[in-house]
Amino acid sequence: MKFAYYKAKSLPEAMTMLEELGDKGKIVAGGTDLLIGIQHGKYAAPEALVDISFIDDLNRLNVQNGDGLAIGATVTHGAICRALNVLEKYPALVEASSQLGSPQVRNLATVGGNICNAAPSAETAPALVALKSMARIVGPSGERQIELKDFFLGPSRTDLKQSEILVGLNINEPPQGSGNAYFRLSPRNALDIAIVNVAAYVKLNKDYTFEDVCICMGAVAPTPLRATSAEKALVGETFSEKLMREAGQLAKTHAVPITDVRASAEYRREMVAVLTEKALAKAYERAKLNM
Amino acid sequence: MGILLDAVEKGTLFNVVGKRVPRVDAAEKATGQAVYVDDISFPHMLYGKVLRSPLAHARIKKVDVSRALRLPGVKVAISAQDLPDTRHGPFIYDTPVLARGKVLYVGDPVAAVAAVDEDTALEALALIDVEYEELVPVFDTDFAMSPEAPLLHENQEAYIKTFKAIQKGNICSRTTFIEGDVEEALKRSDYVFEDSFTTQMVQQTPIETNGTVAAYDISGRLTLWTSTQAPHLMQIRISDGLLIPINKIRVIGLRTGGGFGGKVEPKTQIIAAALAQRAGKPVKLVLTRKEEFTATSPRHSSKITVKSGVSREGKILARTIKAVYDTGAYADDGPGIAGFGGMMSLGPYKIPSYRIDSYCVYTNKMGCGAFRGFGNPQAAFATESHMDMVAERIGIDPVEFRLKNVLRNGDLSVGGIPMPSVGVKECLEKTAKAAGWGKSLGKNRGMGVACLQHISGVLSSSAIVRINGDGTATVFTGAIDIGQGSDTTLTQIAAEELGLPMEAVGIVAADTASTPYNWAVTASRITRTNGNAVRLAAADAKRQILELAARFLDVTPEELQIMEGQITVKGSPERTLKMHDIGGISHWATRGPIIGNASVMVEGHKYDPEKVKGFPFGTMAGFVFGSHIVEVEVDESTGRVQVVDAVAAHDVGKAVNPTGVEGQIQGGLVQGLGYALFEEIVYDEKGKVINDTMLDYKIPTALDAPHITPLIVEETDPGGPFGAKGVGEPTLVGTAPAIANAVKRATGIRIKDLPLSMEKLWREMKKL
Repeated sequence: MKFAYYKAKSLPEAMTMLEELGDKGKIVAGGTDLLIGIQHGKYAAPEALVDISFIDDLNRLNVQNGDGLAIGATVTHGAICRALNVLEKYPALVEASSQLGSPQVRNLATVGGNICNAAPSAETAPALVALKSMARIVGPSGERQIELKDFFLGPSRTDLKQSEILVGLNINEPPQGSGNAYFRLSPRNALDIAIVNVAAYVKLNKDYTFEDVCICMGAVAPTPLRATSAEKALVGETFSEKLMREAGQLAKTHAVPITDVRASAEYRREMVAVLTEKALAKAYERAKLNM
Repeated sequence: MGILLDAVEKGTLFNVVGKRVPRVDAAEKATGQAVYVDDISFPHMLYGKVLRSPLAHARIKKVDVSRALRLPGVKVAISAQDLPDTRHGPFIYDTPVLARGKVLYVGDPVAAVAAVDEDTALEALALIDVEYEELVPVFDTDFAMSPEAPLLHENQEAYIKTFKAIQKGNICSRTTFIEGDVEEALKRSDYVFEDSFTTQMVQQTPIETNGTVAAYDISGRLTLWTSTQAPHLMQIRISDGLLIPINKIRVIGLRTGGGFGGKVEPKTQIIAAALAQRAGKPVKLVLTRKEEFTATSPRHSSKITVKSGVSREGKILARTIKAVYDTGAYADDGPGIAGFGGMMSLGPYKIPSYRIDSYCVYTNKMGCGAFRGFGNPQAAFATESHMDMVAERIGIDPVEFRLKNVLRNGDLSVGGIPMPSVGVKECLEKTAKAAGWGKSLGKNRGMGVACLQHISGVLSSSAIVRINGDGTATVFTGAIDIGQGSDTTLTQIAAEELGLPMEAVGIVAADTASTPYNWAVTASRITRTNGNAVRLAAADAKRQILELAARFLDVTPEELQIMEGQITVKGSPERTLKMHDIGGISHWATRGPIIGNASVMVEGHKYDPEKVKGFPFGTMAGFVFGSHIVEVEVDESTGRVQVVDAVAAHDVGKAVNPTGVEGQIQGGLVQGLGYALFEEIVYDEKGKVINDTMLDYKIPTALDAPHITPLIVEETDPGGPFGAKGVGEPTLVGTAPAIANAVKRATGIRIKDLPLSMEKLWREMKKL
């Protein structure tokens, strides 16, 4: 197979290339999914690839106390893992990035790629949704922002329109009294895909009751899924193991998983409850340390 | 000094054998210099691709390659009608080079092309017209063995067989071992327990897929550069498949990126040769990972029922086995595997009466073959799980129960073969001690044990040792180093025998044009069987060296010895000749160059035809033993099992390279962990493999490996070189039952069907 390869040096240049190519062009960054997918026939070979991974503005990971986090779309998961010390308020994200693929894959694969790829089991999607990320999108008609939870439309389908680029994700700094965590279940300890994955964010009131909760589940629906009934049920309540179990049970009512070679729908549904429970408990533990 | 020399003579002290030497191939592999088949390239080389059956069972009505041949860039396109009407195989000649008359599994090779590049070759495959008439597929051995099942091999009576195969319908071979009056012994037993188990199909998953470059010259000589465990065996299969005499076939074994049994029988070799024959240009044919997972020769799935009669004191008095091995579309090594698996299913225990019935059955899945353990992993999972179940029922500790029944030196194996060196008791005691058997463990933790036996001596080998002009030596062996370390081990054996330092011995491994016959790198047999050939060839060279040296030192050869490259008169160290001098003299002055050679065959025992029926092997030797203890931690909410610690002891007779032995123990144990927990080839209802990627066929990673303590037990084998036996396969055999037994002790749940997946365990835990 043959295709043209364009290396964009700036965002405007990438925009021009994409507009000229129209539906013949496809964006590539790390290429860990796209190039292998093309090779194995999972994706049709495009006529041209526009590489955005050399655009400096998109490679930046900005974290400022009070200001929150701005992750450029082409920041690699390896870079996230290595920034552990500056990301201490975002452990769910680091936990997700550090379990994605292998060290070699993590050093190529980008956060934007993992999001735009829109796999139901995407490693970082639940963490980024639970942290209430905003997706920054640049297109022919300028820049727009949407909540990341609304970015996913289905497996491999996103809100990105033709010639639009996901340039980054913004996350408000998790406030004092909050905590977040990510759990995934897979047979192997490395190089594996999640059977289910769950991220939880909790913010506690001064009396340790839940003020705000955000739970996002992966691999149990066509897109990452918020467990809204579980979130609501926790607000105003005090932590208990029983309550976490109930939240897990509520979370699983949202799940519409499939049966495949990796797991049955029934197991996924039950495990999403287990992981929700674990993620909430961990997030709560972290929130308490952060009061 | 005299005492030390005596020790050397008696083989109790060695200069090279038993030392932790670096691997002779380490530097080239660490730096990437090692040459594998995909590194081979020639000008004008073509690329081969194989068209595979989309159906599990169908009659081929028509194959037409003419449209493919018209595609620019396509040089050759062939189907069975372009090839001689042959079938080949190790025990039953049932496998055509390309499907003939029928296809028998999804993935069966139907046609092949050679083109200027891979893309063109792939395009050409789509232009080959095949018409099929679908037949009823047979996916399950119960159905296959029923009278209603359609026959897969309609002409099986006519196939050539290398042994007296007992066949019926889709049963391609049945092996029976009988000893004593088992019914009477069961009646006599205080307890009789019966348990049934199943194991899954698993793939070898070598990091390098199968591949070959084949070239055919104007004189009709065929040369193959290939990834293989068996260059000489490959010559025979190509000869049988394409009717070319062996002297016209040269097979060059390259560095091989893992074999584990999957590179013994041909995968790419005969098809690449057939393409090259017609192309007049070299053809490269390398399997994709998808082809590895769908059209090679994985480990047989099995259904095994074990029944044991036991006395109140915990002695096993009788055992019956019914084992069914699903061999898929072609017999491959299946008859041997079912037979050997049956043989191993008594475990390393003395059981006075038994009846073992082992079946090898055709179904419409890919043909199964050898994979580290050769039927023994299945047998050991069933029988060692059963051992724990029996111990629990009669209220004896599983280690104690095993110790009451273990084999001793001199006991007889199944079929009555004497076993002079049996180290199982020591293995079990050492592992129990090192693991702290019986200590209290944390919540959701459990420790499990399994013992095992295997063999390491079978069939024939030969070797040549040449003394060079400078007094160094070169070993020529047909045993290829597939990563297991045989180049190093065989070099050590030759150096030890010759009295040379390791650096003074070179090795040439596995080019049929220059190295002498070795059956195959299989059956954990290279250290013992091929090692014997190398040692005897070195001894033959040494005898000639000493005869020549005796003439110059004016003594008899018996008065001489070689140490560190120096030939001295015993007792008069000043009367000396250097090996360098012998090399020079023999090449330039008198006698002529020294060549030592040897041929070996494992022979001796004759089976009683009333007691052993349908067993495709002659005798076996070099029985090896081992014991594994693992500790697991189970997540009770998910069913996920983590193996946290493992101790494995293996009786290797004499560890020629202890570091190599430990590497085998670690590697085999981890591969067994994959077999126990994750690995499984999964078919859909149409007979198509649905997890044909490394993402969905899960082998363990380094992070899944537990801390492993390898222990070496050396129960000297009088028939092995310097007392050595093998270690390659048995290291995998004990892991799966040890894990299943540990999970039982951690959770109370007995899983009798592999793999022990987290969902399966979770389902059982939910029932509690």
